[in-house]
Amino acid sequence: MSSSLHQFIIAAAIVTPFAHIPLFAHKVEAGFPSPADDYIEGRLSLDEHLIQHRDATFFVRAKGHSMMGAGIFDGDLLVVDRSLTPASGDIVIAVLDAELTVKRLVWRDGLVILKPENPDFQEMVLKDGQELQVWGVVTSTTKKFN
Amino acid sequence: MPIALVDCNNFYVSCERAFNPELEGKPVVVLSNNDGCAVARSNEVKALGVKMAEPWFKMEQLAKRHGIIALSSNYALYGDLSARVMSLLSTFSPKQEIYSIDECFLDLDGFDLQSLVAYGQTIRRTIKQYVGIPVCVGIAETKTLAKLANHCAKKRLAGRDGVCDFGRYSDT
Repeated sequence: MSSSLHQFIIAAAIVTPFAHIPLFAHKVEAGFPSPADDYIEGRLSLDEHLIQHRDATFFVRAKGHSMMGAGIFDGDLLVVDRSLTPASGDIVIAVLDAELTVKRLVWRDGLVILKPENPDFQEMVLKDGQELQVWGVVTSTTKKFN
Repeated sequence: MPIALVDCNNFYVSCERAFNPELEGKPVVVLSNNDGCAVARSNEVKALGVKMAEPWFKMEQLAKRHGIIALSSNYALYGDLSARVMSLLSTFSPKQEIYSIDECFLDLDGFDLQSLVAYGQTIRRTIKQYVGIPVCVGIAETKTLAKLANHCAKKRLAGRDGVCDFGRYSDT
């Protein structure tokens, strides 16, 4: 039976209770601990930092090299918010001819254009009758080195 | 005191379509564990006469003839999308009763009776945009009638564009 995982390995962003990681006010050093340790400057939660609308946010695995100029590389995990209204200049996941693609959405001189960020790729200008649906707006990309 | 019943259309199929636009407009079934029987059918498949819970081995020939796409179930996905839908729906009313994986009642007591249909449309648009799941909304004075109104909306027997408010119809 055909797998129900799409080629993009789109995973729903499962927001579990996050661990608050304290952001310490100074570097970790050996020796006598600073009394300032008790006055933690701030707590950074990646969920809070990356996700604005939890119910409408999904992770999408980027495939290919067409958006390298925007800092999106093959294998990166994109954070996609479906609740946002796309604006010209936004990087979006678009549905073009029933396929999902990551491109910069631009409207220019009354035309809708899907722009890659790589000189090796061609921009796509939407023709009359061609339907573009924005699946979601890419708000950030994440890359794991390790 | 109006009550709304919000119900997702062909839920498991819609979940699959949300992530694979190629499935739109095509006859799709989702099969139960071990690919035993059809637990969700797209409208195209329903039109071919396939019944709910039809065993896969019985419909395999029909599927081949009509190009029905059969998918193994992905309950982790359906559960997650359901949670999103329910969480979003909870913002539309102070009182929500989740009824099943794809249905929930919303209490509309105190809401402006003239604009319930428009409210229902807002609910539909929001869920479709935020999660990619199409839903229908039935509104009536009781839960049972709201479910009936939802059925009417879904089958286009009454109401408009997936929303049916029985309160808009007179008693006669």
